[in-house]
Amino acid sequence: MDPFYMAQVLVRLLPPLGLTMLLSLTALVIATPLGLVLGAWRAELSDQQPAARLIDTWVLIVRGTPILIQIFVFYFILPKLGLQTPLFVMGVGALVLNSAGYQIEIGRAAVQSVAKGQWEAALALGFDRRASLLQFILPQAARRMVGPVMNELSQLIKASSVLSVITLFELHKAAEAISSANLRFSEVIVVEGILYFVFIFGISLIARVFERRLSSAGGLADAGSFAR
Amino acid sequence: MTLLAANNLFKRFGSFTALDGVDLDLDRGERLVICGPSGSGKSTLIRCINRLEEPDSGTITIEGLPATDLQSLRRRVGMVFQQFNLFPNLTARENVAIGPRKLLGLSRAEADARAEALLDRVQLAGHADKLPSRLSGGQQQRVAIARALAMEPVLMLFDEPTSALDPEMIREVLDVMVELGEGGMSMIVVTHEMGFARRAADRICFMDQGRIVAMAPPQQFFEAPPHPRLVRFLENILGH
Amino acid sequence: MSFDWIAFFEYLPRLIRASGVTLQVSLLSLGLACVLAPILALSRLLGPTLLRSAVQAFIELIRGLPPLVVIAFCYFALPKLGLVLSGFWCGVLALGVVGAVYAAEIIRSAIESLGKGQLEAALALGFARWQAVLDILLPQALRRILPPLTNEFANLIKASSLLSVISVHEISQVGQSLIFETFVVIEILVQMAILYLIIIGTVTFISRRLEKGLSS
Repeated sequence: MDPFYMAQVLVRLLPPLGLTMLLSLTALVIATPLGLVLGAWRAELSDQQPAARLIDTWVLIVRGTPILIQIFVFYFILPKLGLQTPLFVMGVGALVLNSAGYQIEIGRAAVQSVAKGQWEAALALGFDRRASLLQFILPQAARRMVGPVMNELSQLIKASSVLSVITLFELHKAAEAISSANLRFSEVIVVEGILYFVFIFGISLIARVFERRLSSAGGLADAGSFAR
Repeated sequence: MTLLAANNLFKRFGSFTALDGVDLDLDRGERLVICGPSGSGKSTLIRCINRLEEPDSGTITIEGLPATDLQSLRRRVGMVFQQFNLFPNLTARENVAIGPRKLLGLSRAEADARAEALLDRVQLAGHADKLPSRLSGGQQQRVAIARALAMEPVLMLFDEPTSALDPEMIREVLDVMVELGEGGMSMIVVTHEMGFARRAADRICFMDQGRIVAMAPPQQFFEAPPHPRLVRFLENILGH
Repeated sequence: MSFDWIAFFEYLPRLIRASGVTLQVSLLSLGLACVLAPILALSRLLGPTLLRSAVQAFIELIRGLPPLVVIAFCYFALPKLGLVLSGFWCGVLALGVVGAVYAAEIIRSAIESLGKGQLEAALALGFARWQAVLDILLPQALRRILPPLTNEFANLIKASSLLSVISVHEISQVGQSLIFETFVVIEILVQMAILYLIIIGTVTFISRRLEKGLSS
C-alpha cells in the first residue's frame, strides 16, 4: 500500500464520484415523486382494477429481476428502436425504473400503515375519501416515508455502480479502468471503497435518525435488501 | 433469622434518583409488602435484589453471603413480573420445566413431573399443554408463579403481579400468593392491593421518592399510619 | 421489429444451463451466509466489547459498499494477499459475506424486537446471558427471522447477476455474450428476465407462505 499513489487515485476518482452522485440524485428526484404518488394511489385501489394490475406488474418485474437486466433493456433495446440515447440518460432511466418500483412499495406501505381509526375519524367528520386522504392520511404517511426515501438514496448509489457494465464512467467503472491500466488493484479498490462507504454510510446514518424520530414502524424492513 | 439484608442502596437513572439510601431486612419465612406512589423506587428496589438492576452503591446479602455469582443468586431468588413475561412459544408445562431442565440438570421427565405438580398447586392442572396465548391473564400469571417456584427459590419477588390483570382475575392470583406465604415462603411483594397486604403481610413498607418512609405491621400501618405522606397515600388509594 | 420464436428456442437451452450456475452460486453463498450470520449476530449481541465493536464495524463497512466493490475486492485484491480463488468461488465468498452481514442484522433485530421482558424473565430464572439468548430468545426469534431470510435469498440471486463481471457463466454472463455473438437482443433479454422471474418468484412465493404460516 502506497499512500502517495492512493492520494493520486483519490484525486482522479473525484470527478467520477461526482458523476455517481449526479446519477443517483437525478434518479431519486424523478423516481421519488413518481413512486410515492403511484404507491399512495395503489393503496387506494382494489386489486382487480387495471391501474392496480399495471402498477403491480411494474413492481413484480423490477423486484423479480436483477437491476443488471433492467440496465441491459435500456442499453440494448433503445438503439434497436433507432433511438440515439446518451449513456447518462440510459443510466438514469434504468435507475428511475428500478427505484420507482421500490418506492411504490414505500408509498403504499406508508399509507396502509396509518391506523384505520384515522380514516374513520376523518370520514365521520364528513370528509370524502379523497379529502380524507389528502388532509389527514397523507401528512401522517409522509412522516413515515422520510427515512425510507433517504435510505433509497444510498441504495441508488450502490445500484449506480452496476452502470459500469455499460461503460458509464461512474465511480466503479473509473476505478476499474485505473486499476487495470496500472495493475494496482488493492490500492484502487480500497480508495474506491472508502469513497462509497463515506457517502452510503453517512446517508444511511441520517436516514436512521429520521426513521427513529419520525416513525415507530420500521426496523426489520430496512435491515433487508442489499441487491437490486 | 435474617434471610436478606440490603444496606444503603443507591440507584440513579440519569438525573432521576430511584433509590436514595435504602436499608431493608427480611427474615426467613417473612412476607413483606411494599407500596408507594409510582416512581417511588419500589420496583427498582426488588429488581436490585436479583440484580436485574445493578445498584450504584450499597450491599445486598442473601443467607449471609454477598451475591458474587449472578446466576446462582437468581436461581435462589424467584421473580414474578407485572407483564407475566411467559415464553410465548412454550406451553405452560414447558415454561415451568425449562428452568429446572436447563439450569438444574433435571431430566425431561423429572422436570415435567415437577412442572405438573406446581401447575396443580396453582390450580392449573388441566392447562399444562396450552400456549400462553390460550390462557387468561390470571392463568398466565399463575403459570409465571409456578415457573419461578420450579427453581425452588428461598425468596420470591413479586413486581406488581396483579396490575396488568382484569379485576375479576386479581383474586385467583392473590389467593395463590396468600397460600404460598402461609406455606412458609419468604416473599417481597410490590403491590397496591391493600386487602392482600392486610391479609397476608407480616410487615408493610411505604416508599416515597426513593426512600423507605414507613414500615409497620398491617394493623398499625392501617390504623395508625406513622407518617403524614402515608396517610395521604392511603386516603387516595382506599378512596376515603 | 418482430419477436423471433426460432431464435428464442434456439438459445433457450444455453440459458437454462446457465440458470443452473446461478442457482448453484446463490445456494452456496446462502449456505456460507447461514453459517456466518449467526456467528456475527451472536458476537455482536454477546461478545466482549472489543469483539462487539469490531463485528459492528465490519457489518457497517459491508453495508456501506456496493456488492460489486466487494466482488472486485475478492477477485482482484485477495490474490495479492495470497488467496487465489476461481471466479465461481470468489463469487460464493463475496456474496456469502455480503449476505451474511444483512442476515446478521435480521437476526439481531428479530432478537431485539422480542422486548426486554423475555430476556429479563430468563435472567431472573438464573439463565446466563448467552444461555438466555440461545435457549429462550433465539427459538422465539426464528419465526421472525425465516421470512426475511428467504427474502434475502432472492436478493442473493439478484446479486449473483453481478458475477458476470468476473466471468462466472451464470444467466447474465451467458446472456450477455449470446447477445454480442448473435445480435439477437430482445429474445435473449426476455429469456433472461423470465428465468430470473421464475427463480426469484418461486423464492418470494415461499417467503410469503412462510410469513403467513408462521404469523398465524
